[in-house]
Amino acid sequence: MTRQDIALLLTTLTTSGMAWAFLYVARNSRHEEDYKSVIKRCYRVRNVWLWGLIIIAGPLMVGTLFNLPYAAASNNKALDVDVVGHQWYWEMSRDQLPVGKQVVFHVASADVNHDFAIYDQNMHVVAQVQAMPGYINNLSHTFTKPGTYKVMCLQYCGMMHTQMTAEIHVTDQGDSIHTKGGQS
Amino acid sequence: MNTNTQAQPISRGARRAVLTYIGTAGVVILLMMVLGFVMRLTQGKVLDVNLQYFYQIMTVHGTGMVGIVGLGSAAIMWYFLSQYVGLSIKVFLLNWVLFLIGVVMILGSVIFGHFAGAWTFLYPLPAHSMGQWSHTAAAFFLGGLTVIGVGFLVLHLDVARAILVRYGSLGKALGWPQLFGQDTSEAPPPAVVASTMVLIINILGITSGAAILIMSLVNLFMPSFQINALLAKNLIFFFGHVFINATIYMSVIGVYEILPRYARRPWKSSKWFLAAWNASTVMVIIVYPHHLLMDFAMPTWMEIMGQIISYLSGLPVLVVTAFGALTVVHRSGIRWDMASGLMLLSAFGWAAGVVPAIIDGTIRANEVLHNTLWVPGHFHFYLLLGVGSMLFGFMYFLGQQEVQDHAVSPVDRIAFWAFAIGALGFVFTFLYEGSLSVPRRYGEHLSMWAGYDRIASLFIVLILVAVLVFVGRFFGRLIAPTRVNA
Repeated sequence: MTRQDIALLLTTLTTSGMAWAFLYVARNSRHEEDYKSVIKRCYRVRNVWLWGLIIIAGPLMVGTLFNLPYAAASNNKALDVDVVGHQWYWEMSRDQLPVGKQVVFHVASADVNHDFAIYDQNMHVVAQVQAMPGYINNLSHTFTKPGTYKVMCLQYCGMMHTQMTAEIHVTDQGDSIHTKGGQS
Repeated sequence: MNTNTQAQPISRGARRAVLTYIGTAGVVILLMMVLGFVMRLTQGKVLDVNLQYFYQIMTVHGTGMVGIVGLGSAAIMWYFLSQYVGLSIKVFLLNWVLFLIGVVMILGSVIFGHFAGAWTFLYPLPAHSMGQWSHTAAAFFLGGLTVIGVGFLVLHLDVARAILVRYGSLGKALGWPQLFGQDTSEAPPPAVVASTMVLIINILGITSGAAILIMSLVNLFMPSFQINALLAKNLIFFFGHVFINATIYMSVIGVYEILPRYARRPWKSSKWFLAAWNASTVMVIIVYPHHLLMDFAMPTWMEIMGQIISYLSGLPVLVVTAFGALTVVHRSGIRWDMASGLMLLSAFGWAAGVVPAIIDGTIRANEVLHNTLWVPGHFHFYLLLGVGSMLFGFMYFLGQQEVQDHAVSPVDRIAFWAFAIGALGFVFTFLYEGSLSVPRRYGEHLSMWAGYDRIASLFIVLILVAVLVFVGRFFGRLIAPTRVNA
């Protein structure tokens, strides 16, 4: 199950639960009952609801704060790739990369803001980072499957934004990597 | 009677001004929805709109929706707040006039100057069009936004003045004596507490927006005047985040005021309520880095703060407002009509929309959802189903008062369900496409995505028909011969 699947599942379940609660209350709204007794009962439910939220969302909030993408830095074992976004093409120092080896993309922009997003063969995003003028953002990623990955720009950057694509070829023959000033 | 909560009837002139605001909002929202429909049809390959026009339409849709929702929400806040404090009708109308001037400038820059830098005008894109638009066109767009911002700033300053005159300090208006002190008197009503929160955050947000707008204007004509791109992004997203959130906080005053009248139950500023709104005042200001989670140059502590506050800021909505609305309605014998129905729907829309927003504010999820259609999915959730329902509910509330008729016709009933089902289907199509990594702001989609875009377009048809009924009923009641508030 991908992170995207989990996101959709969580949203669908919680939205359905809330829709049920609202429909339940709406259906029972025509019967009149003393407000004080309603408040007393509702406040009990509210406390359960609050603690439920804390118990469910709390660990999710804390647990997802590990393995953040911000500490990417090159080391002896990592493969460095310089990436520069231009209106409207990508310039990459390499476009052939190995499976199973950490790659650190050093992403910059020559003009406006772009977003360097890597799509797998199923056209799902596997990693991304903003490309910003005046800054180099380091994105660490390890490809787990060989194949052709597509690079797309996810930050609107002008009329030909959709045409700003490139390809990364990931092979399990790490030794055959060569350097190329690739662009779309 | 408690002087903190004593309400005064609204004058006829003030009522006309509010009707002008909300009528403008209804018409413009409908037009902006048509533009959104065109974009989804284009992505679905039903219409063939070239990229230049697509991005011009996108710029008008985004800017127009943010602006008009701001205007409509201000009308709700102003209408109810003016029953507790002495607001200036002249300032209120000045904001409307400045808004129209700004709209004309923006439309001129897009239609005649082909400006298509999106409503976010992300520096340095306005100055780097690659020949699509001129610096003059960009200047008109940025200038138009500045004029609109000035209008809202003046409006919020007048709100601050009026609240200070009545309550003495912003702290008292936020219920600090009741929340933190020994004061056992009734706290200011929800409309005052919410308006105080809004003026604080929006004055900060609009000032930040004005700063980056002016800097971008200078950069257009003096390219040697460079702006740090990260600073520009922070200012823009702080402004944008605060302004759009303020629309919810202004509109929800309608829920606090309208639902209790129908349920004949009070919605008072309890300690929970005050704590939630005071906490939200701080959280809405410091949560904005969740828009910059993929900007790795940001300080990591700010990104982590963005995630943590995203989660925490969901609590006031889910525990206080949504639950409060359910408590007021539950077994109340409430009189259901379009106004009360849409207000309850809006509480659901806001609360449920919080969930995909929090997920997007989770760094590990944002890595794969950022700038996909998940983003418009979550913000359309609480803006269309939340704020949209609040605005349309308020239109019914005023319209029904005009003719003293609360009857719900079969057409109204069909429109209500068409809107609810259409909006839910529409946002879930966005969210589903987001989970498939379909990028946002793409003028052309891959064929594999076009089917979902077409499904979304069908849901938009339902929404458009419903909103046409909502707006038509409002204007129909304004010109009805049986009108009693003319």
